[in-house]
Amino acid sequence: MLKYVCKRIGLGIVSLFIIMTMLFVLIRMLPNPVVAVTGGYAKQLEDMRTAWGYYDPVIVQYGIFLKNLISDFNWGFCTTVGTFLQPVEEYLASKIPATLYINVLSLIFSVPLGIIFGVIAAVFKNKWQDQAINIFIMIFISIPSFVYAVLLQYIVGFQLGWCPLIMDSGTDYFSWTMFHSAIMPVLALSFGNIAGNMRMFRAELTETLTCEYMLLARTKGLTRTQATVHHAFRNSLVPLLPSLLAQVIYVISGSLIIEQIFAVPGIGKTYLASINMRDYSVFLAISMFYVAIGLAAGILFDLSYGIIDPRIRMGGNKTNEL
Amino acid sequence: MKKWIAVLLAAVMMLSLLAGCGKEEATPDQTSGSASAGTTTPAGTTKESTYTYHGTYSGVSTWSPTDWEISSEYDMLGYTVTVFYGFWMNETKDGYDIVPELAAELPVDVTAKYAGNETYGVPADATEGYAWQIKMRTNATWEDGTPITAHDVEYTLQQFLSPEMKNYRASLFYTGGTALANAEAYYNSDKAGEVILTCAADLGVAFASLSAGADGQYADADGNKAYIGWSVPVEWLYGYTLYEYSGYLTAEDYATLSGQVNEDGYIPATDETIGALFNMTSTWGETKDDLVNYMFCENIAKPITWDQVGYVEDDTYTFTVILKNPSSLFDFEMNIDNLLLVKEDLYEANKVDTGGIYKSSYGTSVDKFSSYGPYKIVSYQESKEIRFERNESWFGYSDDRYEGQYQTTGIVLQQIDEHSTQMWMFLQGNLDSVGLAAEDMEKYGTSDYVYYTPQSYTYYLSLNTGFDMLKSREVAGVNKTILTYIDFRKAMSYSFDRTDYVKSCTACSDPAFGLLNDSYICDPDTGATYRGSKYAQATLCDVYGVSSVEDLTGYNKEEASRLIQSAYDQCLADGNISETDIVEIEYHVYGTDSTYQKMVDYIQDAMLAAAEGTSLEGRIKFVLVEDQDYYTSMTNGQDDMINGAWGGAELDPYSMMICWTDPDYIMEYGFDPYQDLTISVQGEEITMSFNDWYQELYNGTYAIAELDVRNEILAGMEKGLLLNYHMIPIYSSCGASLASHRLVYGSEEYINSIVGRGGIQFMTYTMDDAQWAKYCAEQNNQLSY
Repeated sequence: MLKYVCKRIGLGIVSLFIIMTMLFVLIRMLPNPVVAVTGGYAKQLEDMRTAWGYYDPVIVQYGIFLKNLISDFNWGFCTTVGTFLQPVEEYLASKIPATLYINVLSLIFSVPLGIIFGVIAAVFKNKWQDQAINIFIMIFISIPSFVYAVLLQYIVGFQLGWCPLIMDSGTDYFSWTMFHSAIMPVLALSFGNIAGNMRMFRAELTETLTCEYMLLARTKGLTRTQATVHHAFRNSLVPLLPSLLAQVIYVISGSLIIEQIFAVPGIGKTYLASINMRDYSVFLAISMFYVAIGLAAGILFDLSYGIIDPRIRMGGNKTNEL
Repeated sequence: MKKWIAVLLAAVMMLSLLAGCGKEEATPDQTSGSASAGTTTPAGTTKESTYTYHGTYSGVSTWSPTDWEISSEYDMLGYTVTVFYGFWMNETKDGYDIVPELAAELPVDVTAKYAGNETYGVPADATEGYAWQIKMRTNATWEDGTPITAHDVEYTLQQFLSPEMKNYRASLFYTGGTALANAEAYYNSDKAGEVILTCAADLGVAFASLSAGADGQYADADGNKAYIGWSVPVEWLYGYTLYEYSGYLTAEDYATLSGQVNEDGYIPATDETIGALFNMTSTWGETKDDLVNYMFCENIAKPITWDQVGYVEDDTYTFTVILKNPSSLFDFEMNIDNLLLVKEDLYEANKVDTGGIYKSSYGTSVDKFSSYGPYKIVSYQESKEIRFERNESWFGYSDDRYEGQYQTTGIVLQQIDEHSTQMWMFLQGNLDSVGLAAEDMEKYGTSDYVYYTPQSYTYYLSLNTGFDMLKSREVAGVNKTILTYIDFRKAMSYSFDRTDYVKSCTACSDPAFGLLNDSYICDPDTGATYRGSKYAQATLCDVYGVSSVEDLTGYNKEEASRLIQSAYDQCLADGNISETDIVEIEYHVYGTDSTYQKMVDYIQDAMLAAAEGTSLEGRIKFVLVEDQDYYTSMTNGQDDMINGAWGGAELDPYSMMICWTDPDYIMEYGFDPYQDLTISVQGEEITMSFNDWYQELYNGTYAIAELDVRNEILAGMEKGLLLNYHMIPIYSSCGASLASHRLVYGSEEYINSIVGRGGIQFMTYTMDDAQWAKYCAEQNNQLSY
């Protein structure tokens, strides 16, 4: 197991390096923004970019970047995005909390609800409860999140006045005003996840409930609830848990539009701006942040199978395989 | 047990969310926070009252005076600095007064004192415009109370021009109206002693003095080798590179030049490369003497110290700037306002080595900036919110001249990207103004609270009139060359009603008939507009065949029909169109969204209506083509029609002619700016090319002529361009916004581009924050506009 984990981490680092190299080169292949500048400021931009080595061969630039990264964990500084000259890692650290805040709240909200409604739908399969939940699933899976984000904002925020239209400023994430202002973005992020979790858990649990060992459990004298909770529920979690980990990635990368609609000062909208405004350092740092999370999540997915279901062993020799 | 914990957890979460959705009265102050109460009391303000302006902004990266780039960054500075000379809305609210602010009095021209000064290069016979002395007020301070003196000015200029920093705004003081003597050389002094390449024209090298050496490469009289700049900015090309103009080169000349570019982006100047370059520039009407503008000669960079730069500190509160080129008093007062000061201790403390250069992060956070204007920054959250409060250290709050101004006690700007969100926040009372989009105009276009702000940009249909390129793009059954017939283009101009067009296709624009709109001020002293001059009015009457500008519509369907038939007959007679061909005009636009579709549909319907009863009935078709590089396509003749637009330089309408008469700017393929144009100047008929007229008007004989003469020439040039019908003006852009129920601008009417409606300086409120919150709550936070 340890050997397998080390191997995966090693491969992850290699992947990270390859992706970082590709991104470093690709962003520099985009047209030079100085060309579009007129009014006499092109010279200063040229001078700045020259001093910062942007006109050196890419391999030289990459060498300097790697040296700074390895020796000082220095990702460069903000030039056109964020706060001018602020170290990129410091800048990202200031943006991540807002993104994490709404996404973590969204997960806390959507996972239990998804499971609860999934259980109800499975237990009451083909009854009206199941039908109602299926309608909910259909609606919230098929409609993109920005649509109900705007609807929420208009109805709940503007017409009813229950919540602020945009997220509160500041960094006091444990205050009531901040939580209150985050409700709508959290709901907008959650609807799709709730529906997805419900659908998946309903399908898994429905299948599990029809297994022979469930019949055996009932014949042993367990009640339907006891059999469902003690036997079916845990087995149904096996395929669900990796997908929950995937949602962590999905909600962080997918919150760009939600952040924009609710004026959340997070990392999502910064990413696009860094490409459009050619802030090489910010682009690379955010990209690597996403890539690192993706790779780490991939490793966790695989390991989680083994933890959830002890029958599954990762990276062992043949005697350990099923 | 576990299951109960799970159930309990879920229940708590549900309850917390439901509780969070509980309705409570949302008031503007909940989003704005409370602004601090002012300690002084402008007219109409009580000590207890706070007036917080809530607005939006579009993001900032730095508001350092030396490094700001975009307008929202400059807007931030606008609240926190005091300029030397303020342009204030005048009492009659129809113009402006120039008022010394950071300066104690108007600038004094002290050119005579520096005439013949070799250090600064002031000509011996100079009498005015080169050297200006400014006496500063003695009670101006930074927000911490530190006095502002001439030393701050000197320090700031040093930072702007620092060769070690290469600040973005450096060129404000080494080129243009406030270029200081020797400033550019000082900016480049980090290269002192090195062999550098400098534009031959700047070195004063004449083309005739260059000669080929033994290796074939040209050199100046001292043997310094000459090169052609290829991928380096060329000032003659307005900072663009020759490479970007390579589309004008023949394939053979392109191969000649591009094949010899060295790693620094220069081409050795030889007979072969100079010949290839001249093949292109000669088609623009340029001579061999002009080639030095594209050429660079080796030279040793000379060391320049700060002492040689055109700045002299006369005493603690008085300084003199010596300019590279002479400036009028008005231009100097206007341009010196670019000199926004930085506070030395903060600027120095935040300097960092960023590799090859030092940069300062001054102006990137509250603690890295010091205000010396009416407001100071009290909080800043990147990409989220900026808050300002009154800067009680500002001298203006105890100066009688500012009495009744700056009623606003606090400013909260939020970055809200979505227009719908902005609109709903405004309607709740959480914003004091909001810009309107096209879709809002039906509902709010006639509101009592809507304000229209004209912009200088005039949009027009740019037409390709180059026969060869149009012909090359024709396919069987399709004709495009009819665009080369002036009658057809004139018919297009007459075919639609501009007033109806702007109502149907734009948010709130004004119909346009000329190339320059009412934003252009020809006399800065009086604020008189070019469009209001008799010559400009006569031009429009002549072009559109009306006796008064009041009668202008630009629409004449019968005449359009006649002209379509006339153009068709000529085209048919010339064998350029068959009796079954369809005229297909490709309308290249940036993106094929509904707005553009509406525009093309409108123009097509108008032309089809005009073509009824003619031989082209039902045979004219406009095709919308998405082309993100549509300007370049038009310049190269690769499309038939685009939306052209030029604007800016509202105080210098004469300079705008460069856009339509200089080959480097002209977009409309097929228009020859070297064709003759005859203009009657004070009764004398004078003929020269469009391009020469521009040169004479802007840099030559008429550059310092009487206003009346300059207007007559400008109107003559505009008429000549309009009568060629390769540009058909349609509309002038106009911004629209809503102001909240409590907001009162200094002037209800938009005055001009300099003072607008008086800005925050003259803005007042009918309700303070508490009254406003109560008022909004009474309206259930659903305000009606």
